Amino acid sequence: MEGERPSLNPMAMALKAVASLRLTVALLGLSIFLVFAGTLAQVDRDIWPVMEQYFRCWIAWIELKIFFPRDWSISGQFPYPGGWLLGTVLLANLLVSHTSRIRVPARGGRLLLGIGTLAIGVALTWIVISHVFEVDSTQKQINPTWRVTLQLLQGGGSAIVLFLGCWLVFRRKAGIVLLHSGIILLMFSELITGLTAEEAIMTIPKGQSSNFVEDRRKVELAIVDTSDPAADAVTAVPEAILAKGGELPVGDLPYTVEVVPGTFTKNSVLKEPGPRDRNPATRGIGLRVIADPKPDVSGVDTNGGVDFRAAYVKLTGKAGGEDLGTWLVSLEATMSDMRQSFKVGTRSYHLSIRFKRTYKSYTVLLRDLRLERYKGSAVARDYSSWVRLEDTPRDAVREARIWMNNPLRYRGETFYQSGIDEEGQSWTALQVVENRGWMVPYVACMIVGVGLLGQFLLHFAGFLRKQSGMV
Amino acid sequence: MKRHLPWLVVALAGSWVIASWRYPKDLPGDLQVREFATVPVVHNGRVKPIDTTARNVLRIVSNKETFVDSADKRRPAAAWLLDVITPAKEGGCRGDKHAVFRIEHPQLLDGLGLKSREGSRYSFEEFSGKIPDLRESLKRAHDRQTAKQVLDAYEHQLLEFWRHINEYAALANLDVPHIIPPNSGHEWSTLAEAVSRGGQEPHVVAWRSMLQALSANDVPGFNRELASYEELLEKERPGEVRKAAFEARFNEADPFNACKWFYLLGFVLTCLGFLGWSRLLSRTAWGLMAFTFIVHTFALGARIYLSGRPPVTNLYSSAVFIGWAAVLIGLVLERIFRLGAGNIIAAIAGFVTLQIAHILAADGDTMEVLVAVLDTQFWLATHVVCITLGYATTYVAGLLGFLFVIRGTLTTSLTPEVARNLNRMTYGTICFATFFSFVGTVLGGLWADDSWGRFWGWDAKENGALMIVLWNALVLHARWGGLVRERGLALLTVFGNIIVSWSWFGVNQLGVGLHSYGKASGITVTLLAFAASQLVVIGLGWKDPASWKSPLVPRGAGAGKE
Repeated sequence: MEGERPSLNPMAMALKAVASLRLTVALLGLSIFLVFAGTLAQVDRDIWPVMEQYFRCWIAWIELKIFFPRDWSISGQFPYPGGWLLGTVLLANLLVSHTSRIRVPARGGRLLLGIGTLAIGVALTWIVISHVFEVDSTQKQINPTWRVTLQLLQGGGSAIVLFLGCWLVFRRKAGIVLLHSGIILLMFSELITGLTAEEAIMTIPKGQSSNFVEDRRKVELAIVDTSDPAADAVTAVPEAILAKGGELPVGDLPYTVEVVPGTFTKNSVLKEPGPRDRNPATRGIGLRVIADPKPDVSGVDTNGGVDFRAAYVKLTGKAGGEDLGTWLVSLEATMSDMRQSFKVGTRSYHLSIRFKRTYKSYTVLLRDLRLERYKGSAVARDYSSWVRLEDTPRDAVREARIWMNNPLRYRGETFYQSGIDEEGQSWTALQVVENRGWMVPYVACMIVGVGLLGQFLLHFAGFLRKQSGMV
Repeated sequence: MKRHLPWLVVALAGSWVIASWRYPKDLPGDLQVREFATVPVVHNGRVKPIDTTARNVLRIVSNKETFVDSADKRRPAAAWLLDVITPAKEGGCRGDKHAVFRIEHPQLLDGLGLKSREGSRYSFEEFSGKIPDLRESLKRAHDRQTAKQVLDAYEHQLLEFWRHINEYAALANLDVPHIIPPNSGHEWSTLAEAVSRGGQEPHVVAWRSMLQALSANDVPGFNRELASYEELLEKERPGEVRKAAFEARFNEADPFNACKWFYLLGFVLTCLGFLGWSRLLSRTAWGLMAFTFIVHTFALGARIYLSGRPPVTNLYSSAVFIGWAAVLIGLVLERIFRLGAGNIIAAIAGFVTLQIAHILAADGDTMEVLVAVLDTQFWLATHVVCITLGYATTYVAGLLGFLFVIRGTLTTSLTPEVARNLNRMTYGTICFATFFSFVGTVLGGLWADDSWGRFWGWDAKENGALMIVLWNALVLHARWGGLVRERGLALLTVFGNIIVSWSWFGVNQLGVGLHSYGKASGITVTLLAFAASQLVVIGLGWKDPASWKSPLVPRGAGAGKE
């Protein structure tokens, strides 16, 4: 189907519309505006809600006020195609236009050879993406420059093989086909990352170990039974359920937990209650402080500016229905080490809102850490953590130095140096990311790069041929 | 004679540059300020000559790198620094008498009991008594800033003024720079630190004697002490001494400034060429700018040598580098097409970017140290360079579009032949722009993945880069799809100027995001004005081509499908 002859077949017409470059241009234009709006919106809002509201959605609601100085107090919003929608249509446009417009000039042996080369290229790409050649730099003390160069070279190698294959099959359009395949790969990788990758923080005091990570974007209500000195029993309620309110699912605890209606706040600060403040708390830290609601935190935060969630929960004994008190639970209180516990019968419990924790099969010991500043300047030059990762079930031990731009990779998880205390003496924070597909962008980058460059070179060669033909 | 004009101009420019590269010397009996300026110290995290510290601080308080003393003589920054570190008999320091503080806001002038005067520069002595009166408003402005509230012009000026006073005081107390070099296990330290741990080291003794000689107006004594201190340093740290001397010479020669004016001259010559003698003047302009480009390249190389970094590390160096790349492209285009357009582009790009760099230099050291995450030569050399080349090429395409519209609508010089060639240049440039901006953006993502474990975070600066990639892709697809022809392509590329400027400067104005290291203040208005000017050009070109001064025959072939 070349689309040259006029056709009345509605299916063909629809395909032609989807394949048109007009649509491509329109979609690109729409995307630029969406990205622009999504950037402006970050002035007022934290990056995560912006991402949900503009990019990782089908329909974005763009607020009018973001285009004007904020003191003009303009309100209202309008619907706009969201990131998922634009991405999907772009992808469809790309796929359809390529399958319908790109011809395969190669025939016979050349075609076979081309397809064979392409198959090798795809296999190579797959091998690279599945980390067969992965170099663990923290084990081999390899220079970061070399490590990244090696990763790019791996991608570059498979990209060049793919380009050869494309050239055999598609000739003049080889680069176009290849670079767009790279873009498809990149879009898919972002989709998968968006849906599956997990980011969390592991904070470890010096000389101690940790076996859990915290998701700094989500919180949970944690009720920890501390009666058994050997192991704590944790009952955790996710934020979404906490925010809905009502009675919370707490399993077989001997009491019920209920959110006092309307007391859950996305962001709040603790303050001493004034004479006119309503204070629902009857026990615990809530007797001393109350949670005062505040607007959300703005922008991508580099130093952990988080929303302090808070709520009041009422505990009632399951057996006798006795009132165990109404408690204030607040992330700010937890972060400033204000603990509250109580006893029911013989068992003692600890009650708090904390960052959502995920427990791991391994422990990470922080052996040492270092913060280095430039002389005569407050600018940090380097921060490093020396850690020992022990995975007892798998009988694996890793010793590593993690520093800026030099992460530790272990079984699909990557540990990045993320933060350190001001003096560089007492604790470190490691960003732990679970993303098996982290090599994909490296490969995709090289595929697009090689495709673009190859296309320009082919074009240029054609231009030269024409020039010499004219002489 | 006429044939030799290009060579003559280049020779003149060359001798000017060579002359400026000579480091000035003081007369033997005078205070050896120039010699003193080359002494290496540590300030803001790196070893540099005193000259750089003096220029940086003076630039911050006065927006100039020289000052006029009480005898109405213009003198170098190092001379000012010497006066600032010399205590005056009546208290304070000798520098208190020099009118270097730039104060412009009427309310601030009023608060300090000053009268507005030409040049707007005042000495510390003139207003120091009034500083305590400002305490209340200072505290208020500071609180508002901490609470991230919008500050008015006065509050901005007030905080800025306070920062200047602090910089000045730190220098006067010798809290900066760290002047005592490492020895016996200690790192670079301030004089006070070194004195507090005994102060018997030869460096401390030397500095104290120099300062004493200064206080006692003992010029020969100071010169003698300085000479022996330099000898000592030369023996201990020859590498740093040489580098510091080179930097002082580089500062004095100020090659980027020379380049800027040569580019302007190139612009004038090219424009004159449109009036007559076009070939000769165009060749002359090209020759001059090619020479300037060599100087520009040398100066870039010198910065790489001095900072030990790839060419782009901050906004200042990005401006210098964008200019460099755009000039190169302009010169190459001129060589191939000989339309004058390449010359114009080289001249405009060179002059404007170096002027922007000059303005950005007011923030202080242009070779400042880098925060830990940026401290990676590999990514600086690949991602940052690619992104910056992406900016440069997109701007060049935009300039070509700009020329197309201006020549077409305001002059009769845009013949179909010229239009077609301009278009080919634009198309080729856009192809490169797409390549560099795409690769640069993705490399940036890979860097983010490598340091934070997140390939793409929708951060403001990332988004800016993405917008350039998408825009260039849009332009290419619009051309391939036949949606735009020559005129349309030109108009699109002019709009590209707005997008690049947004990405380069605009996003920094938002003050959010992981990349807010590239911050700059007070340029929102300039940016908006620039965007408006580009829209005006687009509006101009939007008119029906039939009404253009240059009769552009609408062309079917050549500009359409590939």
